[in-house]
Amino acid sequence: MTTVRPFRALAIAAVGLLALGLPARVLAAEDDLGPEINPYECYGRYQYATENRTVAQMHHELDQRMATLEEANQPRTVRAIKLCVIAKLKARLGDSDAYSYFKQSLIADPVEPGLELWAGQYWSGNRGARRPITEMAEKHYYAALRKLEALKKAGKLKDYHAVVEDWVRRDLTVLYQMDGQPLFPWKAYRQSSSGLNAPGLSVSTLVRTAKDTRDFYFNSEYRQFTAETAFVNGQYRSGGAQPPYGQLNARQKWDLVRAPLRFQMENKLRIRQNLLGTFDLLHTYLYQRESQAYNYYDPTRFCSADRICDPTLPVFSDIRVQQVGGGYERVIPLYPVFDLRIAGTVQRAWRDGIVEFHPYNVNHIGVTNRREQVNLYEFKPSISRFIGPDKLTINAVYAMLDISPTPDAPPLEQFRRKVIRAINFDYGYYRPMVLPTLTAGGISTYRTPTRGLYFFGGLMEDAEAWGTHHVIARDFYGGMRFEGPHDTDLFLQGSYGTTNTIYGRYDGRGSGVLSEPGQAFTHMRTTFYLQRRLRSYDTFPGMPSSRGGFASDFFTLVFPIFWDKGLTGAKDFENVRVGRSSGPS
Amino acid sequence: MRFALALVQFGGLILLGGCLPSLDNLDRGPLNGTFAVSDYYTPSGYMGDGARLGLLSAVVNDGCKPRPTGARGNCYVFTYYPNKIGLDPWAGVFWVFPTNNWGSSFGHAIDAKPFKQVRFYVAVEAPLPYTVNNVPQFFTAFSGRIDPRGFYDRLGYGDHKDAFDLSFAGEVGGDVGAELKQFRVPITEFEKTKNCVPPLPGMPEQANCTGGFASDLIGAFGWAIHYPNDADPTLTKPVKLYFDDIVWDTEAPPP
Repeated sequence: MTTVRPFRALAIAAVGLLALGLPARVLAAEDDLGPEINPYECYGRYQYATENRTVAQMHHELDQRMATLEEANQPRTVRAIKLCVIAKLKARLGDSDAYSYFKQSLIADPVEPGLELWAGQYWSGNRGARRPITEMAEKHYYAALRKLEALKKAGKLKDYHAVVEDWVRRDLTVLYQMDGQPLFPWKAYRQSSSGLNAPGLSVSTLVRTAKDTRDFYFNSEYRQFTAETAFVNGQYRSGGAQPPYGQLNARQKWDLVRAPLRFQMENKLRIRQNLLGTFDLLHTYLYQRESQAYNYYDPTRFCSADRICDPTLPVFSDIRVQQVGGGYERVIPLYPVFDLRIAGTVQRAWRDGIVEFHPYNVNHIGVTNRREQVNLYEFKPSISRFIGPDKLTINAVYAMLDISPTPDAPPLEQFRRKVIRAINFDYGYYRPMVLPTLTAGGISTYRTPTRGLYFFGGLMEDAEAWGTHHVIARDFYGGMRFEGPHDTDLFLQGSYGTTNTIYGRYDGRGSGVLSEPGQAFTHMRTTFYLQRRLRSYDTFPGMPSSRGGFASDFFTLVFPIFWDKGLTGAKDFENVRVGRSSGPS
Repeated sequence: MRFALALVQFGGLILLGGCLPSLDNLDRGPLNGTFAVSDYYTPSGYMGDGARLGLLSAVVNDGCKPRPTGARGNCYVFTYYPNKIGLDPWAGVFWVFPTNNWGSSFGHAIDAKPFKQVRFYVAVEAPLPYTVNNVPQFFTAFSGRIDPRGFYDRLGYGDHKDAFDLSFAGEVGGDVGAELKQFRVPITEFEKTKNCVPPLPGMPEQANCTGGFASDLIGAFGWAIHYPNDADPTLTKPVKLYFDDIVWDTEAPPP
């Protein structure tokens, strides 16, 4: 364990600078603090002050506690608990000065590890934008571990400290849950108290496979099939240059719907350090068997008496993508304005099987793959802040894919690029709600906190340039998600999608931007799902029991319904999709 | 207020961020000076066996024969394998504007008057003798000639056809050999006007002509070739065609 020592020294020094508690010093002064108080006193009082209360009542509780905060001759430990309750109430009500009360409680009682736990939970549970403010939360969790060790050394550990320790370790584990399997020991369960400034190195691999019409990137297959049909039926393909001329027939449209076997592996090596943030090395491998139409003159290899097919050619091309790159992510507290998450990646991709007439993995004389090289730049900022007890989060995405040019096209037609821009909001309504309940006497109501009622909406634009032609897909969506107080969640979303192709005219008759006839269509997708949480991570605060190193955290059953409805343009691919999926962890 | 301002700035940053290049103001007017065909036209009109994937493939600017001095535009290598399903084995390619336009839309506007020739380099590597049933086969090249013959009228797009119709034929193994050789197709005043029928009084001029001259060009260049069945009855050996310096020129060809 000698390798741990430098980090322990660093951690102690850092915490000393922040005056968040130096165990040796504070233990010496312990006699002045007052009676030892179980830190769950803070938790219990907070629960009493919020459970089944309206927000106005919570404010009232807060006002009362503020009024009685400063009392003469009260022991410091008592004041620390009062401050802690106020801090938790303020956090619940969205007051931006909540943390200052957590800090005051830690100054009032610098010995109790449980108070560090509550401060840590403020950063990991209340604050943040899409992700917790890990670095601030870590400071308190590791301080809790240090204080626990100090108490243990001094022989002053109480029974309830075992619970504190369990919760701290659980919270740290959850904090790092998206990192993967830890390779370094300091931030791995059971976390060392010196882990704060130690680097965390984790690796994760996510393997997905499916035989599905829908890809792993949640693209709309309705849009894909309709766009393909419109393109084939357009004036430059005319339903194929061979019989049946003109428009795809019913059989061809049927054949265009495919559910290829898809396989994806996402690998991530994550380096995390408290001062620096989170760095990722990324690798993605994607393979889709017979997934891509590669000849839009004959997209489904239609065969008939007057149209002889080559039986050695597949109907669709395989697709393979290899992607490597790096990423960075950090959530920065900028209160009283907002919390800001900055996240981005820079990646390089090699893509096979996408270019028309150049299918991948076809062993046929004269058929060659044309590999595309793509530089991918992705920036995903988010901001979030409380609005009273509710929380507003605004997310944005900007992604640019610079794709290698088309070599055999005229200069103006060689340019290839895809730009995705999206912005959305998510308003979390966290006030207690009055919900109906079935009792013996019939339906009655009760007031209860929930996991949140969320309203969201946004718009997305996916624009891709093929030379002077731009294919522009836009989605406008809105919906709500209700995460219930018990084990049932509901989700409803409506999306309105438009797809259009525009082109810049340069035929010698004057400039202009025109729409490609027949390529525009609109559609609507309604998504509803019912989710049942069979095991919910937030119903057991400590570490779950494990077997063979594995513990279950959550298990959900999801019953989704999707309805794709065409509004304008071809409506051949309208569909309803009902299913069931489950997600263990 | 500060928060609202920050939100607006944040949203604006994202929405106004980098996007695709503008499509405005791309036009440079009708073609009226010497131009390389590949600067405007795409070899996307595959014909005959060329319409069957794998039988005719193209490589651009790679594997070409040594380029002639001052060559303009792209050089191309086409590799042609004949079909084995009993159809007459021939193939060809058109350079068209816009890409894949077989006459469903206008081509590029052109001021025909200054143009004097279409010139190109070609070489053909093939099994010899280049004959079918002992009849010598020709490499043919052409400019113009796109004519959908009512196909797009029936589909509702309307037919568009070339008013130019230039052609060249050279015997493979004779005129056209395995070494790059330049050929010139003169564009005479007659060629510029022959398909422009004077309108009846009070009627508009046909859409592909202006002032009696061809003014629209869909297919700037094309070629076609038959497979030499006699040289390879098994239909397994490829025919390779090399093209370079395909140019519409305002200078007259040498006498």
